Amino acid sequence: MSSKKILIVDDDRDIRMGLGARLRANDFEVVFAEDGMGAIATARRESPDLVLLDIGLPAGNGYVVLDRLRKNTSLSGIPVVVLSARDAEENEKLALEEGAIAFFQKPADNESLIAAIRSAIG
Amino acid sequence: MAASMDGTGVHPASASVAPMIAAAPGRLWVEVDRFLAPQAESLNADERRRARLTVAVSASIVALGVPIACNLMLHGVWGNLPVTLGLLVVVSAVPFVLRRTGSLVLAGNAIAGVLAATLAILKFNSGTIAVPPFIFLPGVPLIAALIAGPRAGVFWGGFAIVELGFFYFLAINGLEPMIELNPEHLFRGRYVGAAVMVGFVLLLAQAYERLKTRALDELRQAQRLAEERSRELEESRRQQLEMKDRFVSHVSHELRTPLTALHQFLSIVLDGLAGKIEGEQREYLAIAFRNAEQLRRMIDDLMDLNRARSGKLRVESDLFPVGPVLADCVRNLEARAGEKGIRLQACASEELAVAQADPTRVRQVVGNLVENAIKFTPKDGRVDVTGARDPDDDSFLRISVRDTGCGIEPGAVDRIFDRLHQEQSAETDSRLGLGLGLAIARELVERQGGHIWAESQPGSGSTFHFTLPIFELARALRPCVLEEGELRRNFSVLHVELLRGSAIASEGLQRGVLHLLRTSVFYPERDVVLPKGALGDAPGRFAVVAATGAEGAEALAKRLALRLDRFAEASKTCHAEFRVRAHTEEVPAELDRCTRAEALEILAGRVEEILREAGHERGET
Repeated sequence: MSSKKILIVDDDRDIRMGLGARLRANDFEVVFAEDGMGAIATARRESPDLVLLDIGLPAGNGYVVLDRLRKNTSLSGIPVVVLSARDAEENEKLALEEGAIAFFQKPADNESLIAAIRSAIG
Repeated sequence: MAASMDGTGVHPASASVAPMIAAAPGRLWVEVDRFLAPQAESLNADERRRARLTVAVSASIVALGVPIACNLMLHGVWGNLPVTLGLLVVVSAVPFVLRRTGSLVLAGNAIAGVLAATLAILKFNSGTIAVPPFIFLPGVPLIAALIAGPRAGVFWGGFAIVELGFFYFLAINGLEPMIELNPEHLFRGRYVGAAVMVGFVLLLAQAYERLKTRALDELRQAQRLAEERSRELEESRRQQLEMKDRFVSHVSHELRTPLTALHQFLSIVLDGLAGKIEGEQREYLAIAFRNAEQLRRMIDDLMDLNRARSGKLRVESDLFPVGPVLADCVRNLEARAGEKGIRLQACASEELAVAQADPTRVRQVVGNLVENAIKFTPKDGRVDVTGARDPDDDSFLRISVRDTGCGIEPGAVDRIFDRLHQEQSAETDSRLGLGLGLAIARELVERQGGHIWAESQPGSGSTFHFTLPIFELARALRPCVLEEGELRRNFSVLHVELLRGSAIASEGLQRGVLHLLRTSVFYPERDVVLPKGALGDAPGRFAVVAATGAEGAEALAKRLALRLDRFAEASKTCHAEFRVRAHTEEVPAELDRCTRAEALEILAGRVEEILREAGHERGET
C-alpha cells in the first residue's frame, strides 16, 4: 500500500519536527509548510491526502488557509484536521464550521490524533 | 443605588423630604459648623462647642428680639425700635466676628454687654409697663459664662446686680421715667409691628426653604456622585477581569506551544521511535512525561476556571450510563494509586440509571476528586468510588469518592471548594497543584444541575459526594408546558436524522447539529431540544419538541432542513446528508384539566410514542 501524504502546517519548527517524526513512524509520508501562503502553495504542489493545520500562523492564519482550501476546487476535497494551542471552546466550533473535520488542542493525545487521521484517510 | 432608582420612580424631592425634616436639627448643626469652618482648625473640641453655642445664642436673640421689638411697638413705644434693631445688628454681627477672629472672649463679652445695655435702655424707655425685658437679665451672666468663661460670668453677674440695684434705686425714689402713650402712635405702631412680625415669619420660612433646598441639592449631588463612582468602579472591575481573562488565555496559549514540543518528543522517545531505550532511561522519561501531562492539566484547569467565571465554560447535555465512566476514571488513575500503594476501586450499582450530563465533564470531576483523594491518602490507604441513586432525591444520581486520608478540619469543609484554597499539611506531598481542582469540580457539577459537598473527620478520611440529574422526559419537557390552563393547542416533534456523514466527523458533526438545533429556528425558552442519546443508542438522531401550530411545524421543518443543508455544505468534507420529519398533533384535551406535573407526564408519554414510531419507521426504511 502506498503511504498517504500529510501536509503539516505549523510555524514552530520543533512542533513540525515532532509531528513529522510521529506521523512517519505511523507510515505516513509528510510534507511541511510554515505559514499560510506556504500551506496553500505546498498543498497545490504536493496534493496531500490530509492537512494538519495550526491556527496561529504568519501570512494568513489557519482560518484563511481553510477558506482558501475550500474555495479551490482541486483542493476542496482534502480533509483538514486542526491542531491548535488556542482556546478549544472558542475555536473548535469555528474550525468545524469552516470545514475542518476535527479539532485537537495542543498538546494532543497521540493515539486519538492518529486515529482521527486514519479514519479520515485510512 | 436602590434608593436612587426609587427616587427616579416617584418624585425625588417628595421622596426625601420626610427624612430631611427628621434630620433638621442635625442639619442645622451641620450648617453652623460649615459657617465656623474657617476657625475649625484653631479651636479645640470644647471651644468648638462654645463657638457653636455662640452662633446658637446669637440666632436665638435675633429670633426673640424681633418679636419683642414688635411687642414693644404694639404698645406704642417707638423709642425701643432703634434700640432693638441696634441689638439685633450687633448680636448678628458677633458670629461673623467670631468666624474671623476666633475669639470666644470677645464674642461672649460682646453679647453679654450689648444684651445688658439693651435691656437697661428698654427698661429705661418703657418704664413701668415694660418689666418683661428684665426677665432676660439673668441670661447675661449665663451667656457670658458659657461662651467667654467663668470669669466673664462673674463679671457680668456683678454688672447685672448693679444694674438691677440701679433701677431698684430709681423705682423706690420715684425717679422712673414716665412714658407718654400717644394713642395715634399706638395705633400706627400696632400695624407696623404686625407687618414687621409677618415679614419676619416670611423671612424665617424663606431661610428654612433655602436651607432645605440646599440640603436636598447636596443630597442629590452626593447620590449622583456615588452612582457615578460605583459605575466607574464596576467598569474598572470589569475591565480588570477582562484583562485578566485575556492574560490567562494568552499565557496558556504561549505555554502550550513549548509544552507540545516537550510532550511530542518525550512520547517519541518513550515509544521507542528514536531508538531503543533501557530500563532506567525509560523510567526517568516516564517521570518527565507524567510531569508534562500534569503541566497540561494545570493549564487546562486554569483555562476552565477562567471560562467558568466569564460564563463560557462549555457543558453539554448528554445521556449516558454512569457506571462505565466511573470504571474508566478508575482505570486511568489506577497506576498512580498503585505507585503510592493505594487501593483504588470503583463500584456502581448494576441498574444505575442514565444521567443527563456531560460525560467528559463528569469524567473531569471524578478525575479531580480521585486525584485529590490519592494525593491526600497515605501509603496502604484506599480510595473507593461509588455510584448509586441519591437516597435524598431519587431524581438524582449520587457519586461518592471516599478516601482514608488525613481528612479535613471541620471549619475548612466548606472552604475547600473555593478558588485557590488548599489544605496545608506537613504530611502531604509538597506539590499539590494549583488548588483549582475542587473549584472547577463545583462549577462543573453545578452547571450540570447537581451539587457537590464533602464530609470529613480529621484523621479518618473524607468523602466527596456530587449529584447528577437522571434523565426524565417529563422533566426535560417542562418548558413546553407553561402554567396550568396555559397549555398550547398543538405540539410538534421534529425528528432529525443524519443519513450520511463520514465516520470520523460524526462526533464533531453531531455536536454541530445539536448546536444548530439549539440556536437556529427554535425558541430556547419554550422549545426543547432533547439531549443526545435521548433517542436510545442511535447516533445521528436528534429530536426537538416544539410548541407550535400544524402549519407552523411544517414551516419550521422546512426552515430547519434548509439550515441543515447549508451546514452540511459548509462541512463539505463530511459529506453529510440530513432528513427532517415533523410530526404534529393536538394537545390531548385532558391536559386542560390537570396539574402541570400530570400534564407533563401525559405529554412525555405522547412524545415517547411518537419517537418510538419514528424509530420503527427508520428501522423499516
